[in-house]
Amino acid sequence: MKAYRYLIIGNGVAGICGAFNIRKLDREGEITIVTNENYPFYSRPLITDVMTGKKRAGEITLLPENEYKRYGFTLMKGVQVGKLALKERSVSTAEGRQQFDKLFIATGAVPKKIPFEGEGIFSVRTMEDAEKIRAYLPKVKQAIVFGGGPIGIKAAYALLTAGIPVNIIISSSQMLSRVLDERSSQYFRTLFEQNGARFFFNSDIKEIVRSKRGLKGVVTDKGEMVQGDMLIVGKGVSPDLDIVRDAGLRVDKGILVDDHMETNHKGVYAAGDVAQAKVITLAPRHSSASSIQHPASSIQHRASSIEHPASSIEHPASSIQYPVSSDRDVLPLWPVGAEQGKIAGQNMAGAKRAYSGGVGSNSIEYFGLKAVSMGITRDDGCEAALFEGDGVYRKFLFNEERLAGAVLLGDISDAGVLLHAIRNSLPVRNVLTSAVSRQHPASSIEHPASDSQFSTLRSQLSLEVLF
Amino acid sequence: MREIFFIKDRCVGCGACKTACAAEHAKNHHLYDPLSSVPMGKKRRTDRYKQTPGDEVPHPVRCLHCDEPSCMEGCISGAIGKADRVYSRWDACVGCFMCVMNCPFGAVLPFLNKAVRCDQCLFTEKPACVRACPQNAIVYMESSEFAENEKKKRWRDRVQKEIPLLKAKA
Repeated sequence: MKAYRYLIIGNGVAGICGAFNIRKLDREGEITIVTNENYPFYSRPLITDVMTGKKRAGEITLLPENEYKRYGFTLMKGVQVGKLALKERSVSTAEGRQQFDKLFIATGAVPKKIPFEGEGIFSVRTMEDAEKIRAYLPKVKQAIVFGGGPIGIKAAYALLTAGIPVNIIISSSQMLSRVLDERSSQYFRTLFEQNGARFFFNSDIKEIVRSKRGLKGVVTDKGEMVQGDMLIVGKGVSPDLDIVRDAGLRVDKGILVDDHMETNHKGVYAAGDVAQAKVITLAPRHSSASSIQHPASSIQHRASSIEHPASSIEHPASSIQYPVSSDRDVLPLWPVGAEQGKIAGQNMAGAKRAYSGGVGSNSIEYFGLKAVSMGITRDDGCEAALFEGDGVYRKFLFNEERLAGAVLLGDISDAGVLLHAIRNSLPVRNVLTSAVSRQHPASSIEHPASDSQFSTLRSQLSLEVLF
Repeated sequence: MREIFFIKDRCVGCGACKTACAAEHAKNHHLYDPLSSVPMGKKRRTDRYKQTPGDEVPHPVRCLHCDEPSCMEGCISGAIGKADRVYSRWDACVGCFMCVMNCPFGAVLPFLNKAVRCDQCLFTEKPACVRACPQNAIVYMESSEFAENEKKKRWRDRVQKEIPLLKAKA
């Protein structure tokens, strides 16, 4: 039998997880990994540690270059991919054409751009960015971070722990607005301000002020002058769709994939930050913030989308009908990328494995304060159960009987159990509300918050499996 | 591979497993260390083998060593690996708590700035909690052996229940 040729574009977590899962099922196939970066597989969330010099590049490398050979992967690093010719089953790269039988697109995402560039303005996405910032850092007395999302805040935190005061410009009215709710972000705001950060909320950059020595500061649209020798932009990421334009793949926000992570072209898979895959949200229907529909109503949508002219873009190879894009979304998160990559890899190697859907969830830890959020975090029209006290903040949002979202701060144990409840839409409302009402801040010193009130939930969820 | 099993009916909730676990994972395997080294009394608790006092029978939570560990998928630092058992390397853990967020069994616990799990007391013949349990409520055996024991037990219970009935009939 002829060995299959697998081509993986992208050397991130989705690509590597895919490669390992192909190798598990297919010992013979040739696996080629193409990346435009110059480093072997490294941990992208940890590049902020490289940025401040806390860790060296080698320390966050997860798969050293000599290990690739051990698993039979061919790594082509620093190679830019040109055009996809899906009909001819080949890809043109800077080092010639690459033939493939199955293609896996895991190109990831690129940081969102701001209309300013030049010396002293950086974004944090790749190891190269981190090394550039590290080389620039000795000149920096004070830094500016633009963006209050997980990327911006993580960069700010890294700089603060390295002893550099940071001014943070945020376009919304709170930090981490897509991760935490207003109350819990207050905890972090206080911590950051105690450690030398200054916040400028509801602001945007209007102008960059430069002096002879380099960057001097920025002027916000409110007219405030913000001082700083360096500007780090962390406005979020958007899928890197450069190579898939005009390739005949269905693209919305990202590359649309079905439950098997396959695109509309047979044998072409996508996963990770670039893919728009199934997402589980249990947001109530009347919620204005989210456009995601109930499963029941999406069936109607599916029926109507067939007639819709915009959605009848050619997908020649197969007759797969795609559900509306509203229940598919791009989730640029590490665990989601890993799981999607795993599913894609197994399907590429011939197994049939369906993706159950991702839930937006995030785990953060700054200055020793831990927080986990999952699902929806803003209670527009949701019923909520709240507990606060003793440095612990827990909020649960319900949609009818099911859990739709949660914010845990301070005490994050059992976060996984809750995430499991969201993913499988388990009816856990009564258990959780009674657990919250039973809990008194004073008594939680005796029994740490997690110890007592979740035993009932645990017994429902995992006891059968455990014992 | 042998596993830890917990037999609910036998447990009286004495907490000896908790103490033994804390001592096993301390320096010198002595209880003095975990009691004294973490200064805040509130945080002082068993990290790897948790017992949940509640309305129901208390039960420990342990790592199941899944086939496809979701904690491993979530790990951003490569600290969690799988070789027969799922393990996490203490020194490589960066404390992002993605594993805590991902484990559907709540078996990975945050402890100070690291995530910890039951490691089934590697390098020992029997896990500490099994050795400590006075009620034999925690047992360490092959899963097939455990299943057989359960079957025998169920059979014995049934026989004991039915013999008086049969005698009465006769």
